[in-house]
Amino acid sequence: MAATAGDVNRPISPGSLPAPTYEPIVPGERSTPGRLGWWRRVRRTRASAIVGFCALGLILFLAVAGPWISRYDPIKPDPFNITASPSGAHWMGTDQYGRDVFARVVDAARLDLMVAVAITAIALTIGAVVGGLTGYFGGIVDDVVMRVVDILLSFPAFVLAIGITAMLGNETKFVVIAVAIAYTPYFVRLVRSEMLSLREAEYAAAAKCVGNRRLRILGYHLLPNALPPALVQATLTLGWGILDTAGLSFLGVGIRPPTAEWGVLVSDGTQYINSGQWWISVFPGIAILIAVLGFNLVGEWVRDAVARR
Amino acid sequence: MTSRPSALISIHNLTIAFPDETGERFTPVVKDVSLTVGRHEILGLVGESGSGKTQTALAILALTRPPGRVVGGSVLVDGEDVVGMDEAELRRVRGKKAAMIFQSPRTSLNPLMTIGDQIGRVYQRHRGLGKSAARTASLAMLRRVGIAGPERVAASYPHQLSGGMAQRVMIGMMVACGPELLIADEPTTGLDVTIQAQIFDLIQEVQAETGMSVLLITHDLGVVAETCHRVAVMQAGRVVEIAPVAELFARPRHPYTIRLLGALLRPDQPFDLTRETMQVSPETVLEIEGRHYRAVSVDSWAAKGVSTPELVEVGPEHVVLCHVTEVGAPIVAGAST
Amino acid sequence: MIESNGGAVANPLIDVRGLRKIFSAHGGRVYAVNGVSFQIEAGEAVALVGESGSGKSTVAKCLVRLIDPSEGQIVFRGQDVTKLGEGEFRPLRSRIQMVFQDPTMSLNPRLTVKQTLSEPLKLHGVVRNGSLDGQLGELMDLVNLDRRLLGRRPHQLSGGQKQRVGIARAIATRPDFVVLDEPTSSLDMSIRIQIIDLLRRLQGELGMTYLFISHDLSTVRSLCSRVIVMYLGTVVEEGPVEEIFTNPKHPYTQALLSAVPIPDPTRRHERRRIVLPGETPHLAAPPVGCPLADRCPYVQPSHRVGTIPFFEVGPGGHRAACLLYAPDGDGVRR
Repeated sequence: MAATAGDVNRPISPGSLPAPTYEPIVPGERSTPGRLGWWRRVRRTRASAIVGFCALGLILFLAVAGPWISRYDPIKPDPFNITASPSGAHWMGTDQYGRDVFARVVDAARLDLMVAVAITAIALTIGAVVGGLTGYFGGIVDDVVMRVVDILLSFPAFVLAIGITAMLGNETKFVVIAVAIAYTPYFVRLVRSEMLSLREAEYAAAAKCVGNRRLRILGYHLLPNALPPALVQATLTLGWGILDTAGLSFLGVGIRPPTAEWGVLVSDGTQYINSGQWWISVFPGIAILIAVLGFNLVGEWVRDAVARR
Repeated sequence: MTSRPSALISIHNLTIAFPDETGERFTPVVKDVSLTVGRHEILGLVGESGSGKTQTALAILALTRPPGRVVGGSVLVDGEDVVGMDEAELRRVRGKKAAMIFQSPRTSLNPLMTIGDQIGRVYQRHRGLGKSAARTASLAMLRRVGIAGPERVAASYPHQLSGGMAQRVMIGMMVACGPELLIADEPTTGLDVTIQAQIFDLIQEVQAETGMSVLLITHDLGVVAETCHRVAVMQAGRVVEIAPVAELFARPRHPYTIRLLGALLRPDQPFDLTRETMQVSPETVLEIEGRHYRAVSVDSWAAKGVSTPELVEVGPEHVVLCHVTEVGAPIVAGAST
Repeated sequence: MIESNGGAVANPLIDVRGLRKIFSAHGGRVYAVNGVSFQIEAGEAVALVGESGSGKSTVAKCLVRLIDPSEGQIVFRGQDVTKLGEGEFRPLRSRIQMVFQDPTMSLNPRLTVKQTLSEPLKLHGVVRNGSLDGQLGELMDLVNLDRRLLGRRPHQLSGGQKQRVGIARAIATRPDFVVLDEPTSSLDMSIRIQIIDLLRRLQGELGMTYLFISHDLSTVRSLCSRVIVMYLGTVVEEGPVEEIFTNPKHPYTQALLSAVPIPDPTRRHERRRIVLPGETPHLAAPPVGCPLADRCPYVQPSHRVGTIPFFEVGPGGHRAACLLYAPDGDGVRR
């Protein structure tokens, strides 16, 4: 394969140079970026992202390990111990029914995280499917769907969620559905616009030439490439989902007491803040803050990571 | 200034580096480049993508884009070092001394201004002409760069021009500045073959007329053969060979140049079926010991732990990047037998 | 069905008849291809040459059915494929393949080389029982790629390697006919010749037929045996490659060839550049008469009417659509 430069006949010759011996080309023309450098990547991560990951780690740890840390029942009232201030026995004090606030905050973490994940999963899935199909195929269905999306987007998500829960009723699953519907249009629009540009991509044409059916081109070749922006949105939606769920509960149209949910907890404590029992509301409030902040910072990091690729 | 004609541009040991993602380590993209552009000459700067040819040219106008920066060497433009100049001084150099046209002329033009106004402004600012004089001069310039119907073109906006027209306009605009050096960075990328030929013909004509120097960056050795007087070949950030065009094509010395010329496809000859495919590894360098040239792998040099390569004169105006093994051994000019 | 390799001119592998493609865009219409006809025999390497606006890429896309022609037929081995529905045409895709211009754009960035190359094999059921890995290995060997690269993704490959993957994908099903859409134009010059060598070798080994779409005439001369020159949606000249390069007849072909830079400084002063005034226009109406009429230095009033027929201008089927070569000659025969 690798011939030497014995090309005396060519008009372009190395002149009178002694024909140098050339070494064969190595098969791999260029070396690949190493797979290592995992630690370097962590090191160069921005401080804000690290704070975000820590915040989420804390919440996640509480949600998973909570029951083993706290020996109190989050639901059962304890009439002998109402509105006890934070102490060694009750780290975050007790509420007006004598329930341990820490136990309730931790118990609520699990519910809130699950609700947020469910909301995001539903919105992302519907968004990807509907956005992918309409973006790829276009046509009348696309026009109709986009008008509906426009209408939904003209309401603030939270207001829309209030309206839907008011219609459906305030069970946890309805809250999930309501907030998910409120966020779906964002995902539809995001995935659709990605798909609109990707369907013109040359590798889509190549996939067609190779013999792929259209649905396979859409699902296998294009959708995975259309998703990264939606995944960024999803991370942020996890935070907003928590905020909105808590907000609905706080307003009394979401999850109802006595279920331990951060919004419910904050709402429970509001009437006691003026009388000095701040801990009932403030601790769940801090939990919401940490969770939403965490998702936002991590979301930003994901966005940058996606942009860098 | 001495009476001896000095080079218009002389670049000494220029090194430009870009930081990696962490921003801690700098990777050089231009390594120890020394190069001159003489007065009234067309110098071709040839190399494949990523060879550092554009970065070298940008450094002449001190246009190295941050976070990249010049980490060593000097760039003398008509005797003045542009490395470390402040913006006010640079404004004096840009346009007056050296001007540049780019690959995509349409993005270099202001989309909100008519072509006539844009060229007119150049005349007002650089030549101090009045408004109506500038307009007349603009039309003359458009006609000069081969635009039929200059009035119509002067009244149009950049997006209304074809790629070839836009590049003509760019050339006209830069020439209007009256620069001593015109840098053309792959000026025909994306243009059709016939338009490309016209653009290069135009550059040659304008050069001959105004006597300016041209630094033509290209990857096409055909263009070099037809357009340039001298040529510098770059590979992986280094200039590996500089020679007059005829000399380079007749007697290439560096393995990389030989490899490039060996990879040429000739439009003017039938394809040579018996042609031996010459494959030289991109990692090959030239080693000189006394009068003997040897192409060796980079690795073997790294193993020997020998110093950096240097440009050695091997013929009239012909230098080549070599690792000199026997210090002090004179290289016979031309190395001809 | 017609037996393959009938060998005679009567049985071309590809027969394009009166192909037209009109795009509607922004309220107006663009006449991209205006009645193109040509034939390609099995085993040939034919170049389709032209500048932007010539319609060469549109013809290519019609051939691999990325777009449907507005009019005309494409006959593949005696079968009119333009009449087939998308689903009916799909099995034929294993016979008709395409290599794209820019491998960076035409490879799915998420898929490994292995995934990309497995696709055609799986979709067309040509995986020999459970030997997918073996077949992939052979494929990699065919295009001179290290088998270890199978696990890589496009961004971990060099430009030349990527295009080799693109070629491997196209030849995976051992197609009869491959459309090469400027496969070397995005590559560095030293890689370009390697890809040309590879394409030449593959054609010899696998007996494929090529249609090579290009504006790069040096590459055309290195790879093809016959050339079809297009201008403004029509064929203006065709013939054997050496005939076209040494004896071009159509004024457009002459101008095009004279514009190609010759990488030989000793020949700098020999060249005589033929410059056609103006640039390729956009057609908002179907052309009448000679498409080059507005730019041609030899134009006569009679050239601006009707359709221009082809005239035999040289050996080996060298013909040009130019009235200057009409035997009865209302033009000047040159």
